[in-house]
Amino acid sequence: MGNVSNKYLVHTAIVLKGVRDPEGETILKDLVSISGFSNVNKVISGKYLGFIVNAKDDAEAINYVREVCERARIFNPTVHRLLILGVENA
Amino acid sequence: MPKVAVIRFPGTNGDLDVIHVLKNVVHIDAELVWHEDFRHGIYDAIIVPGGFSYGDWLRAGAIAARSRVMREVIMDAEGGVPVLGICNGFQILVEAGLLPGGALLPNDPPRFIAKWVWVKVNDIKTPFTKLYSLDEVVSMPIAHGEGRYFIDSVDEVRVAFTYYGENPNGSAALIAGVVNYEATSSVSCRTQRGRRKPY
Repeated sequence: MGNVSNKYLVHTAIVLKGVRDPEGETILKDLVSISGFSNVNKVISGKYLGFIVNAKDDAEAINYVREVCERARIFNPTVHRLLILGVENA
Repeated sequence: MPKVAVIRFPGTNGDLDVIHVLKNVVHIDAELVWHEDFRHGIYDAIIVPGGFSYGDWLRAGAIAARSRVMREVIMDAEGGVPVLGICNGFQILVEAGLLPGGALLPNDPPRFIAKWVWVKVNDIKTPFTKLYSLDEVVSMPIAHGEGRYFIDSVDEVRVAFTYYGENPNGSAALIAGVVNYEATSSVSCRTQRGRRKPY
């Protein structure tokens, strides 16, 4: 009967894999590099999504969000990679 | 008289153009159907027109592709009903798995394109292209931000149209339109569901 359900905010990002990322390339070439930041080698663009979920701990929250993203096709595994950026109490 | 369903999602904006062409140019019976009202087993053909379904949120076509109506459309397609997706409709059919293709990615170079382009007709053995001549080059309008057709192996694809003279969006092998075909049990010809992406 313990309190097994807490709220967690899981931060995710969807980025391209294996295909060109023209948005990232343009940000690098036409914004970062021309501003003089020569030590930046690459910029990767993506989409951020945060999920507030019920779970008993961090690990369960992350696993649940990963399952949601796969089954609801939040990302397209052919061309995207799902990044779990972090988790915090919500 | 055959009846064609033109499906409207929130954000669809090419629907009335398609209705106009079907009714006033081709002179066949067409009905504009709100996506929640569509039921399988009624129509002889289905067109998913262009626009910005669900605001293109998440990625173009991704949310519409998971909607109930697409499960109904797939049931019709599996029964041999031809399904045409134009522009955003093409993105929806790819996302729904009705058409081959890994994804439609943001254009490369990254920009929204709205212009007329030339496309070559690569396949005339489909219900959608049979009035063309093979290798005929025709002009079509395109308007999209996510039109870069990507697929792991282009050998897996039956190509209906390829861009001619330029590759405006970085599509694999210049692919501008594909058809997907599955044999139906009742007829000797194969039934294709296809789509054009331009428009």
